[in-house]
Amino acid sequence: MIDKDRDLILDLKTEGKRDLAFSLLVQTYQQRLYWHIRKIVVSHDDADDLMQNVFIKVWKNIDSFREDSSLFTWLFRIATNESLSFLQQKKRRNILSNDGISEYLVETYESDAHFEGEELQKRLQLAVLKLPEKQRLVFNMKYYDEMKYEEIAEILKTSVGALKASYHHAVKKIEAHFEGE
Amino acid sequence: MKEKKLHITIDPGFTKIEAGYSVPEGYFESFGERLSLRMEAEEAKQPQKQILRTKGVLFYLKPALGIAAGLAIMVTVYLHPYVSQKKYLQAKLIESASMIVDDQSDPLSNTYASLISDGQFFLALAEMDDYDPSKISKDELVDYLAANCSDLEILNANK
Repeated sequence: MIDKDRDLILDLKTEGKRDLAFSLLVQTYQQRLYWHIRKIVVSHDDADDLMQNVFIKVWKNIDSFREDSSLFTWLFRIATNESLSFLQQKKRRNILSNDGISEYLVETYESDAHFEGEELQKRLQLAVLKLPEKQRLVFNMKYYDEMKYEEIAEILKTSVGALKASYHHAVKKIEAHFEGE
Repeated sequence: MKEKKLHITIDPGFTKIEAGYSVPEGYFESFGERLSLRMEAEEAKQPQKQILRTKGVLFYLKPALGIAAGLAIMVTVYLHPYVSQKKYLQAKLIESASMIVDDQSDPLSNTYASLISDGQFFLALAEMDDYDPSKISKDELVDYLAANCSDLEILNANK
């Protein structure tokens, strides 16, 4: 674990230093967490709500953080779980299938006001949004967030081999999508 | 497994394609402040929630429990005479029934019955067949009447 993070955790668990340490934590990780969440749920408003939920959970549960993993991994795991739970709720409320979730994400993407991408970026996003959930998640973390397989494996609690296979399938599907356009 | 770089296939210029999402202006700068406001709002709600939690189910059921208790008292008061009368009658019935049972299970009669053998019983029956009122003496009759009838019954019989 990075020394900076270790100090931050120590301060978060210390009564008098907690508020200041939490502000520092938000400042340090808010952008990375936001983009991670945003790529999963697509809508800016939903991503904003979810990121607030993530930090509130961190605030409430910091004392139970056992430091088995790095702070970064712990934060990303909470953010990923929150985002996937949100999509599951959408799925249950609107009685959507896996394809239904993809369609919902594409619709959200097309109606979202906060997108300034070029045509190529839009084409790639539409192809990514049509991927199955796990492949979409792995592709986002590997391609866009440039995480190492080992880091992704720790966050998603899966093997590096499985992640490589998922990423490979995702790339193949995106290429096929582009060729079929 | 050799990883295939996606941007090689779809972008000959080797430029990574970004996601293209954007955020409202000043979003990250103001995020911390908005988060603080939400946390303060949640903390303000917290004690109220805790009070509700400690009061729990009983707090919400209080009016219903009051009505139920009132009804129970009314029913008890209304049914009390009937129930006590019924209980009194039942007790009396049980008492009289036990008396009958006690009579039937008189230890003396049982002893007497157990002392008589089958032969003696039939002999007694045979003796009864020989019964002749003319053979009863006057003294025997007086003894019988003295033992079994009151003076009033004897006087009434003579009228």
